[in-house]
Amino acid sequence: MSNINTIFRITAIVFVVEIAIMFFIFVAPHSLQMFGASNFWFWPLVDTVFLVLLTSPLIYLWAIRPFTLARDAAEADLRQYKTTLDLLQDKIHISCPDTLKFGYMNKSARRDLGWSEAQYRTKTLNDIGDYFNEMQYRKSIEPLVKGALPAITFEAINRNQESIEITRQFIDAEGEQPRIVSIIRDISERKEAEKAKSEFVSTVSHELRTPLTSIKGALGLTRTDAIRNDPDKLERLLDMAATNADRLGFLVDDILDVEKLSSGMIELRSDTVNLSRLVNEAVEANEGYATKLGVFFNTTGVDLPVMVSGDNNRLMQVMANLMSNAAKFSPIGGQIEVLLSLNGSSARVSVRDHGSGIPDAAKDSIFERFTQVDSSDQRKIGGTGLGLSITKVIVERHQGTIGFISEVGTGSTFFFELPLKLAEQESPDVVEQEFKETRYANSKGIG
Amino acid sequence: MAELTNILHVEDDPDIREIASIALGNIGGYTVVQCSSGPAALSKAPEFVPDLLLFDVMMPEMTGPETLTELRKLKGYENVPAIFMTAKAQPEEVEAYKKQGAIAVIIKPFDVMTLAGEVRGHWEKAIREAKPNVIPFLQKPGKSDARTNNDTPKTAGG
Repeated sequence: MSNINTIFRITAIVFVVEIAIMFFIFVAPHSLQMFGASNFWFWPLVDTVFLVLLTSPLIYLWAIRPFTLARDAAEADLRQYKTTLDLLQDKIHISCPDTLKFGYMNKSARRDLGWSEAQYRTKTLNDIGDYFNEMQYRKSIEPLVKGALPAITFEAINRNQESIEITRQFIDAEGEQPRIVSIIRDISERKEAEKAKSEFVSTVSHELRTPLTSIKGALGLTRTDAIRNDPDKLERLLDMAATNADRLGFLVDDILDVEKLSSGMIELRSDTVNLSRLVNEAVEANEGYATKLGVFFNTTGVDLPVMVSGDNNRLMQVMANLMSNAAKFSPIGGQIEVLLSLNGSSARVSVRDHGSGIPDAAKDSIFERFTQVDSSDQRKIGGTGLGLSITKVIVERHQGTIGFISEVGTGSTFFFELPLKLAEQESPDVVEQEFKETRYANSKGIG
Repeated sequence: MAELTNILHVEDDPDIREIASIALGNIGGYTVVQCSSGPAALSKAPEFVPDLLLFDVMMPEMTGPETLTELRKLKGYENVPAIFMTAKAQPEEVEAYKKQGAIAVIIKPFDVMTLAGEVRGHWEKAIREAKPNVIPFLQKPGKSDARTNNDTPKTAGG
């Protein structure tokens, strides 16, 4: 602002000097010749005023306008900075380190404190509320004011019990009032992400350590004389170590699989896959497992080709996960129905069991990692608790959807839908009509 | 000083139960009563008061800390030292278990050969630091013959 005043003063002086030059050099000598000495002051003055009026727009445009433009630009910049600060999600306030009085507060901070622009100018940091401690604050800014630290950043909990990060910096520009700039950032989401990551690490650690405990324990015991001299116990412990080593291997594979699939590190093929053939092959592949558990598969709607675009091996993995889950949770002698159907422009594969069903409490987290309806089942019937997570990721990476319907005591139906690949087959209406005609005519019992 | 004799071990993994039974019973010489879940431990609790509670943390139905909270309400269980044996052992989790009343946390996988000694060390430290009048079982008779009592068949996973 002071620069602009100086420019105006200089302009005014130049203007006056110009008038004087104009009068004494150009106007006065000529007026003297024309009108004589008697009119020396009057006419030259009229001429000068006339000339000033003529030249003033030029002088304005040459001397003053550039400076007003600069001033307007400076004001526009200021408005822009202010708007930018106001629209920031971070809360920003500037206060005096001595009086603690606010010199600036952005809109986000004002909204948080419920103050208007006029109100905050009358407030100090002490007016923020009970959670502001003046003594602690002054102690915290001491190293900033003394120049020992350029800025301080720390985490805190605000009055709404949200996690925040506060950064304070001391500004001491020459000729200006020293001030403390505080930037308060909501880090709730970051904290949630950190917590989720920590919980994931903890869960993975737990899942890996549990079989490792059995392996280490069983092998450790085989070194004792009591076990070494008891062949039955020795064999039992070695079996235990081997079984848990397998479990550990499956876990590591599944953890890597779900991580790589989720992060896109694994590229999926984009082949034309006949879902009818895929379902039949999946039934064949899982038949042995089902027989072991005393259950059998029954397929419906797998006689006509239903083409989708995808990765055959990964879709086979989806089928294996859904079918083995259904087998695990079915009663002995139970039937598992595998149904292929069309749903508009999508193909739907459903796997229905008549097991115990999923309790309401477990439904929300059924696709989350390491979720099992009953963790004791992990040891009883196998599984890493990652199968459905992997299944969901694979289906979603095929632009498909996955879901389930379940009722306790009745059973569960898990299904996934994939977009039909229309280019290499008839229109969905034709396919659907043919599909309906043959759907119930061909059902295949396996197991 | 009283001796550590009876241990109530609650663990849902049958393999780890079997290993701990050998480590504490056969090698350590303690009487180990094992339960496969928190509710099973609560139903077993009125029958006897152990010298030490050894709980897994992550169990279905009731977690170790939940089981401990419920057991503390039972007569005689108010001050029985408790140790959590867990594979879920981030530093902040270990701190949380201690705040929930555990005298120590044994991290899985544990060493079967030293488990009995480790458990005894934690128990003796807790006894030394506790006031004698709040530890009623200090007056119990000495160590009996080592034996293991499992409440559940080997196949139970609950």
